[in-house]
Amino acid sequence: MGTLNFKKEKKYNIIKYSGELTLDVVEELKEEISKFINECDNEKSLVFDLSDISFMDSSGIGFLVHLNNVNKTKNKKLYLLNPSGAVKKTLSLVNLLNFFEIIEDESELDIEIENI
Amino acid sequence: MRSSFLIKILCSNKDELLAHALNKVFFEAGSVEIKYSESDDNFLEDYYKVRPDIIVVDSYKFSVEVINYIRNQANDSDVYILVILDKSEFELKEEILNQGADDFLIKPFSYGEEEIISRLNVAKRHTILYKQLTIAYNRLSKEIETVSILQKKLLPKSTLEFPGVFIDFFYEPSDRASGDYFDFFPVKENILRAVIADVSGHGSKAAFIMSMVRALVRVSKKIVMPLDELLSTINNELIEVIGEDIDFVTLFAADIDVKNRELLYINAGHCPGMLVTKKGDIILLEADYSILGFFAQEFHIKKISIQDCKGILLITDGYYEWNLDRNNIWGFNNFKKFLEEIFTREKEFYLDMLEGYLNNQLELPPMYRDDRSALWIRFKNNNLHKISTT
Repeated sequence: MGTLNFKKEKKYNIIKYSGELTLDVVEELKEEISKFINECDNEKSLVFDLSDISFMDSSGIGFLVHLNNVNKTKNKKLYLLNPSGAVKKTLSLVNLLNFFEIIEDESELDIEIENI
Repeated sequence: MRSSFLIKILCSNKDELLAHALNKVFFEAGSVEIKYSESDDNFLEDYYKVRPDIIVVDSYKFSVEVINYIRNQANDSDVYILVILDKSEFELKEEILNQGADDFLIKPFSYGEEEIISRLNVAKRHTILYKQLTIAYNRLSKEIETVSILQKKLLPKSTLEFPGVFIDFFYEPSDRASGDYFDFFPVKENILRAVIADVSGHGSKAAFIMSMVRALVRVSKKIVMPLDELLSTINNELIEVIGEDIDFVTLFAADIDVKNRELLYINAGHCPGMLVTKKGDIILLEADYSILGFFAQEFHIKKISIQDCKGILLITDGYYEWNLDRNNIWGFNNFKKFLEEIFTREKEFYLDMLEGYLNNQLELPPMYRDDRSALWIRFKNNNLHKISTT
C-alpha cells in the first residue's frame, strides 16, 4: 500500500493517499478510511486529495464512487482535491468526471464549503 | 495439539537429549518421520530424499551452508529451520536468524529438556499451521480454477458466419477468473449485436458478475430488445445486486445493421469503441453514459454510418493500462496511435496480428496487468443489400 494520511481541519476532514489506487489496496483503504470517518463522527465534508495518485484502475474508480455514496447517505459531501492526470484521464474515460465535486486547489475549499 | 498431518523432520546429527525431546513432542502429535543424517556430507542428499517440514541443524558454519543452499538455491522458504549453536557461537545467534533460520537453541541446553521441548513445540505449531494454510490455499485455488473453466464456457468458442461481416476475437485473462465479457449474435436477419464489457476487479466475484451480465445480454437474443432497454435492464439489475459495493461494470453494446450500413451503439463507461475508416483513421465512440451498477441512468442509442469504414474494434482496458516505467502508463492515446499506424499500413487486420505487433514492435514488450479482450468486426465490401435479402 502507498501512504495514507488523515487530517482534521476546521471545516472539513482531509485524506491524502499517495501511490497506485488499485485492486491491491482498495480493501485496506476502505477499512482505514471508514475507521477515520467513524472517528470523526461529525457533519464535516470529506476531502480526498488525489494529487499523488500515479495510477488508478477500475477498482479505484469503484472505490471513489463507493466513498461518494457512503458520504451521501450521511448527508455529507465528498470533494476530490487536485486529482492527478492519471485520475482525471481514467474518470474521463468512464464518463465520471462530472459525477464528482472536483476542487483543483485547497484554497478553494473554504469558499466552496462556505457556500454549501 | 494432535495433528492428522505427517510431519517429516531431518536432523544433522543425533543428540540423545534432542532425540528424546523430538519423540516426546512429535510422536504425541500424531504421524511423524524423523531421519538423522549419517554425516554432514549426506545432509543435502537426505533433504531431497525426505523433503522435510522441519530441519534441525548443528553448528554455525554448517548451518550457514545449509540455510544458504535451502533458502537461496533450492528456493525453499517453507521448511522450518531450527539451528543448534554451540555456547561459543552465542554471539552469532542474530546472524543465523538473519541468514534464514526460524529459531535457535544454545548447546549445552542450560534449561535441559524443557527448553528443547518448548522450542520444538513452536516448530510443530508453525508446521501444522503451514500445512493447514496450504490445504486451504489449494482448495481455494481449485475453486477459482473451476470458476475460470466455467467462465471460459460463457464466452464465444468460435466465430459466427454472418452476412456482410467477418468476426475475430481474442481473450487473455490475467487471473484464472476474470471480469471480461464479449459476445456477438444476430438479433435480426441483417443486424448483428456485439457486446464487450469489463467488470471491475478480478477473481470469482468479477466472474460471477460477468456471468450475470452475460445472462442479461443473452436474454436480448431470445427476446429482441433495443440497446437502450438492454442497458437499462442490466444497470437496474446490477444496482440491485452490487449497488452498495465497490464493483461495477463498463459496457459497450452495438447493433451493426449490415443492410443500411449503420451502427447503433451505447457506450456506458467503457473505453471507446474504435470505428476504423477505409483510410485507416480511427473514429472514437466514446462513453456517453457512466459505469453500470451504481446509479440509475436513462440511455439513448447513438447512430453512425459505417459506409466508409473497414470495421469496428472493441477492446477492454487491459490492452493499454500497463506500465512503461514506474510512473508512466502506456495509455489509450498511444494504443490508438499504434493501431492507426497498423490500419493505415496493412490491408488486412487480425487480432493475432495485433498480438504479434504488440509483442515485437514496441520498444519493450508490454507488461500487461489486467485481462485483455478484443472483438474485431470487419465490414465486408459486398453488396450488402443483396446479402440481407438472400
